[in-house]
Amino acid sequence: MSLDVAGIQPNTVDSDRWPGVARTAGRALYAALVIALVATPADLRLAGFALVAEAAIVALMMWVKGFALGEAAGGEELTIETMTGRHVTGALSAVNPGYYITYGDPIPELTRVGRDLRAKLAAYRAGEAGPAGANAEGGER
Amino acid sequence: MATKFDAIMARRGEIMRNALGMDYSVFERSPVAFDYEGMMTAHGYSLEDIVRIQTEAGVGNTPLLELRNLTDLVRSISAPGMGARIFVKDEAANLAGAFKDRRASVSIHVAKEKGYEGVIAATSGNYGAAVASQAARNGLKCIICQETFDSRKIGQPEIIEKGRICESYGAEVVQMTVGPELFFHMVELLDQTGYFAASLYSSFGVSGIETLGLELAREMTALTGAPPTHVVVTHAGGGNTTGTARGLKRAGATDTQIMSASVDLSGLHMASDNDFNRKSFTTGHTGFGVPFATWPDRADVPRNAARPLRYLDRYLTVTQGEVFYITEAMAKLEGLERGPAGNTAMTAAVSLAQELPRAATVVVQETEYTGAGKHHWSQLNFAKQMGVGVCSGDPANNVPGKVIVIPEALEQIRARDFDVARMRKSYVRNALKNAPEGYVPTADDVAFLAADTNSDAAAVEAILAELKEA
Repeated sequence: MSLDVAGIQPNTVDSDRWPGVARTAGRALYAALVIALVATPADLRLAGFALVAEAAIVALMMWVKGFALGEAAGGEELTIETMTGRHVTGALSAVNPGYYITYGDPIPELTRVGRDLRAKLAAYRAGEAGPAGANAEGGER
Repeated sequence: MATKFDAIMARRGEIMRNALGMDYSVFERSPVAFDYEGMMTAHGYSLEDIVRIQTEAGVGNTPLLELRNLTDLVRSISAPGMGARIFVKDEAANLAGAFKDRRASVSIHVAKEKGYEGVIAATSGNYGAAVASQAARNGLKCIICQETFDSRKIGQPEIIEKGRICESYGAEVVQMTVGPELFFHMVELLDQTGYFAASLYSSFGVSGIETLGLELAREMTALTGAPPTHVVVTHAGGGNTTGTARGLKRAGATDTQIMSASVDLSGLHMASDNDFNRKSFTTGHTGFGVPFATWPDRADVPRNAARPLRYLDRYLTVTQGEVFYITEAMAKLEGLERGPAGNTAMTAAVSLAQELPRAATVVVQETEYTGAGKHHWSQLNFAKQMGVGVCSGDPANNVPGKVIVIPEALEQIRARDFDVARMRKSYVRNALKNAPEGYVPTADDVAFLAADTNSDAAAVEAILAELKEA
């Protein structure tokens, strides 16, 4: 499970990359855990779910955040207390996980849309108003 | 491990009954038919009660805006005398930024009144933010289960933003990779916590949308002298169409035409790990719209309150590129920088308005908040990173998951009609498929299927005969 897509938001860094994860230095530190989900593809099929073939072969994982109830390094087992007070145990995947979603670069295919449409609107209204320029505020209603 | 899974799934009915605070079995009439109106009104709230609940919750009474610039632009490319007036209901002005606040406010009110300690919802969309916001105001704990990542842990930026806003409102967010275990884990959490299931598809949630239809009818009458001739609704699970149409009818706007609109995502599979991050839309698309309309009871409640085939007059589809173009245009022309969900209906409205006379009124009934991750630039940049092409050209060449084609001119935007007759037939087939094998529908079943598909007994009989032959 290594991630080689350049430029993807940093908060999507592969959870297996433990060296980047700091050791929790005691209680009440906000942390994220990764947990393998309890249901295997075989379980799901038995329960009647129609799985797409490729969904059946990929790892089914879950991430939960909360306050650390002990010490752990990246990848080590840790129990956390979630915001609702649940105690959940899993492998430590991040300490103080953040959000790095952005807007990104302007989209060249969109940057001209506003300019073009405003020009088109002005031309239409000028035509509706007639040569005398009356009723320049808007067209026929 | 398998035992734990089996044990939960075996008790699924009982767990959901406790978590919904409502026994759906009392509404069942046969393996096919159930008492829909009975289910919708069982909560005992009048429309006035719901208006009061929502006013206290900071929800509803959003601005209705006439889009004069967009209307004139549409007229500039329409045949003489054509080009309906276009309006929008700015639902982004709700507390958590979307019409979903209307749904959540009623669900959370019920949870509080029934004495639940917390609420759980499985949603990767605006509904999570709405539930988390209302739970915060009511002092209830809140868990939101999201399908967030593909198997490489690459997150869809819009869903990551929804997770962020849920956490900002104090919710616990459980993020998962793509797959059906989302539902399983939600049931497990409901069992573990005893919290209320704030389902998107309960009668509480869908009743909460009726106030939107009511406001549209009243506000358009005040502004133009009559209810809207057409309302365009961004269509995903069908709750938005159902609730809005019911509200319009209850306000006496029985002539208003209901137009559902979705982004065409044909060719992409909703449960596919590979397609998950190539959709560029997380809601308002045909991947939810078609399966839920043709089999509503696939939802997380025994009977879905969202039954859009009862109400929609047409189902229009638009392309990804067309919606991004209109989203950009709305900001530049009307000063409304909003998310793509409501702008899906706006895109269909631009096409529809050209077919209608100038006296007609087209209302797009929602907008949603936008921001990093949700923004159309975020989505297009993410699409490029995922290997999806982005180019200018004829939107007819747009291929979901492969290439997003941004129109070069407004004239190129053209909504397409999805075959509603085919959807009705598909619904009847699914209703029979979910009844015991060999079950023969009664006259009551036929009447129910006719109502549920907005057709008549003869049409249903014809479909049944055709299915029997096949």
